[in-house]
Amino acid sequence: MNGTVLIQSLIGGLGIGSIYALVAIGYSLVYRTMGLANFAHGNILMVGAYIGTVFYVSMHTNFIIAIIISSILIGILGMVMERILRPLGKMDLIYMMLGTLGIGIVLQNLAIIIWGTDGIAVQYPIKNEPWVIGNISISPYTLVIICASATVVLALQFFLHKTKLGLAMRSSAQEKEMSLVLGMNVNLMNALTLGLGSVLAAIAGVMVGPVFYVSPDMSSSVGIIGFAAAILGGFGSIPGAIIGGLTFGVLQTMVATQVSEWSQVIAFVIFVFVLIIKPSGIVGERVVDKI
Amino acid sequence: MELLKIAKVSREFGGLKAIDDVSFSVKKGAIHGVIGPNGSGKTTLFNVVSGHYKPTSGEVWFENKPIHKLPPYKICRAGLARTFQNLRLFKQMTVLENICAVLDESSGVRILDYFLFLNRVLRIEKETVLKAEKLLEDFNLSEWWNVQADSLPYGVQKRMEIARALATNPKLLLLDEPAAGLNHTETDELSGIIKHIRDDLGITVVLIEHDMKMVMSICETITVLNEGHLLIEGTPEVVSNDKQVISAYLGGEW
Amino acid sequence: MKNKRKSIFKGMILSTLAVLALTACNSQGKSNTSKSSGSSTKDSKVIKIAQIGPFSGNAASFGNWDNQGIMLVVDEVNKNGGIHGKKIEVIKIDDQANPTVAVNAAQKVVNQNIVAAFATPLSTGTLATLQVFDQAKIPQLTAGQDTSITTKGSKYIFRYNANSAAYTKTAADYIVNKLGKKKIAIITNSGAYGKGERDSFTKALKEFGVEPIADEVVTPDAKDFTAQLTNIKAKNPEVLYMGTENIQMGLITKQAIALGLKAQRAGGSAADPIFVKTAGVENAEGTIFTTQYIPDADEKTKEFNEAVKAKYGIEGEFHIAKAYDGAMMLVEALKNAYPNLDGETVAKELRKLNYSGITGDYKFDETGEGTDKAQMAVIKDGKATLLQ
Repeated sequence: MNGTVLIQSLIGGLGIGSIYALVAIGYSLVYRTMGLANFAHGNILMVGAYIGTVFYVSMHTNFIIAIIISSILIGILGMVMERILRPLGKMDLIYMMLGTLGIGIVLQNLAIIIWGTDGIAVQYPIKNEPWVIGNISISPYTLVIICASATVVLALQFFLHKTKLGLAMRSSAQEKEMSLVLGMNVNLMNALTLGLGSVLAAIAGVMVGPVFYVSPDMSSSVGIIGFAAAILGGFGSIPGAIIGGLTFGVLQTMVATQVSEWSQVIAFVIFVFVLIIKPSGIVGERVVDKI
Repeated sequence: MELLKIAKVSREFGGLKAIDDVSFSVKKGAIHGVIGPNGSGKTTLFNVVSGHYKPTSGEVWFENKPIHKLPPYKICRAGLARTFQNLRLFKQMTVLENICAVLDESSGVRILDYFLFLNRVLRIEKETVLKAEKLLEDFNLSEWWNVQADSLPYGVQKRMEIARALATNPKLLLLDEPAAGLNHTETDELSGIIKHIRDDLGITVVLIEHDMKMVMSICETITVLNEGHLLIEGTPEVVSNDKQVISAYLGGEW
Repeated sequence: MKNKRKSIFKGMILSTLAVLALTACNSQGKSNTSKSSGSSTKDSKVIKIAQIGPFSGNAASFGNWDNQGIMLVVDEVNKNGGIHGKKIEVIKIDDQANPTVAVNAAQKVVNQNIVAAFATPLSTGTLATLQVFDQAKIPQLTAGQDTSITTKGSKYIFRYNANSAAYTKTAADYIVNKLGKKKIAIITNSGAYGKGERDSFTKALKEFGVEPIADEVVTPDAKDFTAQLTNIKAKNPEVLYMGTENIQMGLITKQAIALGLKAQRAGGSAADPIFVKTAGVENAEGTIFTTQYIPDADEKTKEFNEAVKAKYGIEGEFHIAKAYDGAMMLVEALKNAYPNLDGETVAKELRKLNYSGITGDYKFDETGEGTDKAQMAVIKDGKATLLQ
């Protein structure tokens, strides 16, 4: 593989990897705070993508505002989900996870009923003329995705470490009873967490629309890789999710330049390989065991 | 004034009565001790008061308002804080973060503020840090402010747990075996802290303890529980000379 | 307390199962039929033909276009009394672009007294259902382009389209001989159509003494082509030939431009309005492609365009025009075969036809090929225009 192709696919891989990373962080955030593997995460991404894209394409809203609108609606959806799942969570975590499975199916079918199965083609929100440096062409939108994702992650970390609400959300996760007794409404914290995780998925979904194609099968194509990326990096670890997402993105793109047909498979082959060697994932944080 | 009133409270677990028809009150401004052999129901009592369990029968009143039907976080916001016997620090957060996470009631930040009134949020965040730093100073924790909670020495951890409970601005503080695992010097230090909390901060303290020396020295009133019943209540002198108490001590397991 | 928990749990499980059942029902091929009289064709009042194709999913456009072309003919015929007094009834089945579903649908429908079937607009489904119709001796009409459709030995397949070999030969001829380009990169998918494009375009190029400098293959549902396009770009091609269906072609176009790939973009008959929409009108500009239908090229196509506009409110389109021609030929054959509407007779009549349609001149040979001519067109302002 020559140098140009290497650098080109590295950049492209980082672009799609950033999307995977956002999705993976959403999974990990919810898992580490609620102990819940949210099986509806991919479907939420798809619904968020549709909402944002419909605003952007049909109502000609500004792209950024479309993302914000989608985030708000999906955030509310996440919080409503928590409320629905709460009685199941009181019984057993397993029932709660089954509940997310059910909600995911409902969301998937609702989306098809509302928007059909055709999908929506989305134009880039910016003039996507490539920047050429020597032999390398960089698609500006890829850089936009990388920068926007990085910004989101930084804002998230700031929120979680430097604001009361963020600290309260983290502490509710680590010590539920103690937090209750210290005056925190833990149920509300959980709802916010699920809402926040979902917002990350929605942002990822809308941003990736112009590159791919907004369609119902985004839930599986982007969602599952995000899930695998979260596990690869160590389920529950946010830095791990970032590493996992970027790894998957770069791996897929680089492999595809060599052996096209293997690109989808190779990422999962490596995924299985890494987990056999280190079951707790690349970053290997000891996961909060809530089950 | 009776700040906390426990009225005929019973709590059953599958037919077994952990506490049975217990009634007593805590005066405002008191340091009130609760003692008894293992299994006498002390921690269950605390759990009922702090809202973790609902009483099977009976009522709990705080500032003349019933609290036994409230969820734990609302009880805390009403002014009643507690610590646990086994430390439950937010292990992966620093000392400052542990305190800051808690100070939310009096500072009045609502979730909506994060979206609409960012200025307000920034101001409150600044205030929060200042208040937290003051609290740390008061409890000699300033040097540890940036240390992760689970890296602290045991004694410091205990102090932090109490400081954190105080961050909720309580009127009454329930301490569950605060001296467990402390040596003599540290226990004396603890007594000093408890007195400081009552004398200078005006907070009523109720504590469960096994360290008799400490209990007798700082508590004005002591309630004795045995096998879920209230045995006797009185001053340290009365209690330490009571025949029933002595036999429970000698016969029971401490 | 315990009972309440149990009933909540039961409720959740039941509702999950209910939802799953609903989705399962939805995913089976939906069929729309009016009541059938159940007796044999001779005695029944209607003549039934089936249409199997995708009406849902990414390929729904193909099923819909086929249907629009067919119904344009059927409704007109029925308005004028039908075939010797008998109305034509179309049984529409959604195969979701899934060959397994298509085969199931075919097996079901051959027992419903149909005289012919349009199955399917996609090569994959057509290949899958070849045997079913051949064994049932029911004429199967398709616009699927894969060359192997007519080489599998079915005596009942009729292709109302040029095959990939014809299209790609036209394209290769134009690119190599007329444009004089020799550095050609190919990107295709591993579905039947894509594979057919790859094989026949490469073969056609070879005939003109050229070998592709890049040959990338993707899966039919791939959405990210950065890697393949990066590889292609490194080889500096003059032409990028895309052998995929419309949506993928649009995405490839978009991503190629984003990567700064400046080669002339070319494709097969997949350069339809969906391609333009997916790529974006600006990006699709200048794409050259092969077709048998260019709107407003002559009187016939103009008339056809008007008819489609009047009935459906949309512009006339390549796939609709094909299905229209196919349906017209079928109706002609049925008229001639009547009253013997068995498969053998209808097939014989189809082969006797010499039909001059909107999309070309048709004469079905023994293997089922109907035509072998195609034209070069170019996308200008989002529309197909004849390439001079």
